[in-house]
Amino acid sequence: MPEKKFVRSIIEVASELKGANITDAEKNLIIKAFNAKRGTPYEKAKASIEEVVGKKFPEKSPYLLEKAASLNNLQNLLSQMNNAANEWQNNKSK
Amino acid sequence: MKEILTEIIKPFLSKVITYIDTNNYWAASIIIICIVSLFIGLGYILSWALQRKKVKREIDKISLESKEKTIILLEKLQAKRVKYIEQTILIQLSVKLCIDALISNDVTALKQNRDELIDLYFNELSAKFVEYVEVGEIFYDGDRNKIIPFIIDEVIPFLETTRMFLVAVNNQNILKHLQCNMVSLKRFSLNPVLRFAENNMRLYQVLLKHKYYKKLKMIEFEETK
Repeated sequence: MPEKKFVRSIIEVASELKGANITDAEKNLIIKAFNAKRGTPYEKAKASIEEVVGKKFPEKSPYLLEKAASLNNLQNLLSQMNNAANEWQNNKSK
Repeated sequence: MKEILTEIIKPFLSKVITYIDTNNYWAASIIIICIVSLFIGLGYILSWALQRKKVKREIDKISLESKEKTIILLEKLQAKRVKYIEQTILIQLSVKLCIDALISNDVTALKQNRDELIDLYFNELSAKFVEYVEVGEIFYDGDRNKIIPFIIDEVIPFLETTRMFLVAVNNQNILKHLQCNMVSLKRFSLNPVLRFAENNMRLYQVLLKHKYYKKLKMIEFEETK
């Protein structure tokens, strides 16, 4: 289920924001909050993470560092996606 | 004050009266002219000092207003930057979903997630970045000492990310198995960013220009008919 995978990704982002692993209780709270919220999946994800972790996404901190870190993460993920797509063909042809 | 002035003038006046009494009008005239000149000079210096104080007060007031405006603009720039950062964090979720779909060989999920990723990139991330640059352009207001690092630290990495995004979503395997078309970016959608960068890079910044145009070339914008 894409929804489940999406939630798993949310948990990863939540632990990144929290700076520690997310407990099972927090996982359940995030999922519950996510399902209860309205808006696009991304708005719901953002709101539920902030609500449960009790932290806001970066606002008054070293912006450049955070931006660079998140742009780097995004670039890494895009690169992983491209690699996964290349390998996908190999797996299919096996 | 009056007494002090009287005390200062008194010896000169007695001298003048002495000269007049002895019919020495030239000397008397010179002393009178000197006294008048002295007072005109003092008056001029006094009014200049007062005027200077007034101008300084005005300058301080304008400077304070300017600082307040700068702070307001800085807050707007920070707010735009925060929105942009948030988008870069949130869009990572979408890319992760595409990777998951590829790993689990789920074509339906991949199609859905890829569409969502494209929509997010074009309509959210790019739009937020354009807004951020637009406010940055007003904030830096031609200050090239700050604009050039802004181009290096913000614009070029964004162009690189855009290139990587297009490479990933247009991967031949994905296009083939999803039977979908290539996605391309229209130049005008990034016009404020590109104009900002191109208007501020000077001829002698050859390396920077080379890096910038190389990124642009790799993005391969869709031609507008």
